[in-house]
Amino acid sequence: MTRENKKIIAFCCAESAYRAADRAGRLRIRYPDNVRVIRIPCAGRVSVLHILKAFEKGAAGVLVMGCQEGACRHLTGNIRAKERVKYAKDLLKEVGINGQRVKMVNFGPDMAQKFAREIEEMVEKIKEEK
Amino acid sequence: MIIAARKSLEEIRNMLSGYKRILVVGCGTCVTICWAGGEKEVGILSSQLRLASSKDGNELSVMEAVVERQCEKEMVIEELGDKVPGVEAILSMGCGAGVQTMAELFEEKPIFPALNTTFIGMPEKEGLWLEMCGACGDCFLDRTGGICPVVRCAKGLLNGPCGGNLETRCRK
Ligand code: SF4
Ligand code: SF4
Repeated sequence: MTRENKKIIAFCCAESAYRAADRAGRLRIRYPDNVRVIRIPCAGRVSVLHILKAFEKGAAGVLVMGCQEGACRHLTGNIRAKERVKYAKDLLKEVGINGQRVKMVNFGPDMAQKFAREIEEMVEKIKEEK
Repeated sequence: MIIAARKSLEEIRNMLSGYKRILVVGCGTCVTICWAGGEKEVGILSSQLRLASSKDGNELSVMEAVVERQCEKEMVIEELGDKVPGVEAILSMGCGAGVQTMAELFEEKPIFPALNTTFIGMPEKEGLWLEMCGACGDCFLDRTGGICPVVRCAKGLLNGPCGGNLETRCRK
């Protein structure tokens, strides 16, 4: 597996996390540049297979970023995503990949600082493991 | 419908050890409904197999396919006829009937079961399946009020004094 690039894939809900990422850019908040943001209509769009495929293609970590619980525009997308992330963790553990490399995070659209912090944390986690 | 559950990745990998090109075949009917061997599960297992083998530094090429009903020869041949010659082994995600249908059709290839077939049942709610029939071959549901004692009585009693159960014991 080619993990040298240590890319992190962030699946960002267009209603919250993607806006937070946008805001982080506008506020010139610095965060590690090995993150690749993928805009999705809702965190509920992310399937277990999307997460596994990201690792298959060499990602070192995956973040699923959706709205705060109770605030999902599609009502339960973020709850579904949470369960799927849990399931993905188990599947990855079976393969021998630390389940901490995938994480569900809940956002408000204005949480630019938190966006940067979560990415930094994931980068740290990956470094620790190597 | 037939209910099944997937074997652990470790068990599956042990069966497949030594093979470099495999075909994972799901079934689009019963085991799709019980989330054990449908298109999605084929994708997940294939992905896990690829990840695990590349982590160990082994080359493993995994092809994926789904047959509408793996226990029907015509459907299997139509879907897999041109895929099977290119692989060394086949991993079936159908129930036992599916595995055996493929074993009969592709005699020259080893066929491995990825699922444990457990019972005939029905989906009660999401993620919960209830056993409903033991395929006894002599159905008498007409005399038992539509409840099958063969599998739904914990003791399998046909003449039990059934008053339901109380704290896990039979009520007289
Ligand atoms: S092989 Fe046949 S009986 Fe078995 S799960 Fe598929 S459709 Fe059902
Ligand atoms: S009596 Fe029960 S086990 Fe026998 S055929 Fe009928 S449902 Fe199935």
